[in-house]
Amino acid sequence: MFEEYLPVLILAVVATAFAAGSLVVSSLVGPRVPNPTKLSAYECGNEPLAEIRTTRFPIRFYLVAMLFLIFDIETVFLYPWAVVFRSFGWFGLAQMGVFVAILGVAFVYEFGRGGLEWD
Amino acid sequence: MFLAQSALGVPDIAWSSFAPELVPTTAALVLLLLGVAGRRRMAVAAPVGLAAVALGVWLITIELNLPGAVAVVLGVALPALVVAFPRTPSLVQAWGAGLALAGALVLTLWQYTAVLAPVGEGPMLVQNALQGSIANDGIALFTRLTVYVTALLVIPMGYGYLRQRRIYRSEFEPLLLLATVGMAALGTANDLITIFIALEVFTLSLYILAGWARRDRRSEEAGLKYFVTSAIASAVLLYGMALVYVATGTVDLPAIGLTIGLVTTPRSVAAIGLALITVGVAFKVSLAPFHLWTPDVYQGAPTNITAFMAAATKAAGFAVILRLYLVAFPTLEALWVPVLSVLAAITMLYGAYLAIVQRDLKRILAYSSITHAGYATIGVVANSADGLSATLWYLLTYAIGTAAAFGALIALERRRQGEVTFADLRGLGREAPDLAAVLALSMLSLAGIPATAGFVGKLMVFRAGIDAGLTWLVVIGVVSSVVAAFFYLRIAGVMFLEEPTGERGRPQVSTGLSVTVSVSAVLVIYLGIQPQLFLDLASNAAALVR
Repeated sequence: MFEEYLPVLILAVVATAFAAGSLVVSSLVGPRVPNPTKLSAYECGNEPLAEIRTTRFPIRFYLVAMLFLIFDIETVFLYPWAVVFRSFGWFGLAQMGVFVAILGVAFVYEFGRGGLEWD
Repeated sequence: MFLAQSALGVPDIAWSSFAPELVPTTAALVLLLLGVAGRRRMAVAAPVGLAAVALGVWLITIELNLPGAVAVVLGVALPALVVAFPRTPSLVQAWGAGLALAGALVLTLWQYTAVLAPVGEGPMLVQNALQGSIANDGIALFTRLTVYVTALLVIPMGYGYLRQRRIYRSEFEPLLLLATVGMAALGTANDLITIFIALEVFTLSLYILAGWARRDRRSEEAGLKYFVTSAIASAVLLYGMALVYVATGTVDLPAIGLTIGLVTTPRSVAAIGLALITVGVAFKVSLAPFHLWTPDVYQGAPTNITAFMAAATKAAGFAVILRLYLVAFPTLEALWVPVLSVLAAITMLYGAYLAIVQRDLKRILAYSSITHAGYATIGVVANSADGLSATLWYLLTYAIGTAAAFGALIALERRRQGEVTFADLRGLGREAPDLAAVLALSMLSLAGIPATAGFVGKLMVFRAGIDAGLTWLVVIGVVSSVVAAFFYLRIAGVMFLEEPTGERGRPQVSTGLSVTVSVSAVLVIYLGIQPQLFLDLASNAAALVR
């Protein structure tokens, strides 16, 4: 049965070799011109404000993340459903309606509890 | 469009197979919305109620009278509750949740009479629904009964308690309902994926509920401890499930049962999967040595949550244990019967021994629940129809006895506003004879004294063990019962034989608490003296979807 997995093994070896090879080659032949900008941490183009490890950030970000999850999951299911929408017909529409309604309850709950107010 | 034309089969949904779970799920969503609606509660209640009534009327027109009636009653009750308690939204929540659970209980019984009831003598029928992911059989019926009855007892029991501790929030009832739904779904789950999802639904809710009193460090510790350890156990369980899938190529429990004994199945992979699954489920029902979280979590969680966890989680956990071992792994019997027997033996002795040396009554009951998990396991390792019905019956009686015991503790805790020790029990028989009587009765039932529900359960479990040739295990069980009887009877003795110390006032008993505690006490006596109806049900319940 292991013969069937041989291509996977070969792919893994080739991928590892390629990644390691690229690093080795670029470190050997690449030019090195260090300057302060290159050495600073990259934060979306902004000046770094503080050390990451010691900075406390508001727990409200967590609520935003939860909100993102609600709609992310919704999208994950909506796309495949949209592709096969016709063959599911009314049944599929009703099912997706129920699903969106349940997620909607979560959203309304978070909204009602004040999860979207920053202060 | 090529994709659009390929015919995807629309699944045939047997709504009756999970009708009882639909009611509390919907109720949880509606109560969640009501909790944030503020003064606009009617704007939520009226349309939802109208929709429920419409659904009920439609169900009645297609001759589903009882489910229709449930929908109509709940649909009318929701706006009525909002009107009746304009100033106390918490009462709307509690009543709404209680009515939803009562509806679920009615639908469970309807499901039994309409779908599962045997014709004449013999085991009940079984229903295999949703492409085999749900099985309606004896395990499902008893798990639903136990879980819904427990939740129905816990809601009124904790109403006053949560308010007195100032930890009531409107999310309490929705979370409790979701936990209940998860447990009930675990009783019906018939494939590995459904099992895992149901497990997560109820443990996720319980993590939050265990840490509900977040200003209390004990409760915080309980929530965190339960979350961390239980999440690891879930991961181990999931890994075991994955290995079983690797070995058998299916997640369907009956199909696993058919494949796993074949010569072509890699036996070592299946065995490792079985071992990991055993660790995972043993953790969930707290079999020693996977019980270490139990005392701390049970002590720290608010007492009404502890009651729910101790009573209902056990039923759901053993439902999945029974189904896994009796349906999926019967051919690996030589592997799991010795392991589970040893676990049961350690659990019974260790739990009973440690319960003796505790001072806090909640910890005593926590160790008592560990001990009882050991007794229930005897019915599992018996690996027989008798063992199955014995375990199901045992879990029901244990749940009711435990609910009564924790109910009495709540009353004591409210008087003292802190942990309850033996000193609080001293002379309780004179101060509050009714409460002392209930507590003593539940202790007698947990100890397994005749004429209480616990006796019949223990007798059945031990008999099933002896019939299966596990005499040594039953001997250990009897020894453990004798040891356990010491601390159960000591609680009863302290209440009636010792003098009260100082003036402490009466224990605080709210209406909800006294009703639920009385109901559970009556059930303990009724199931002890007149068990025949439910015994027949339990012996008929030994029919599984295989």
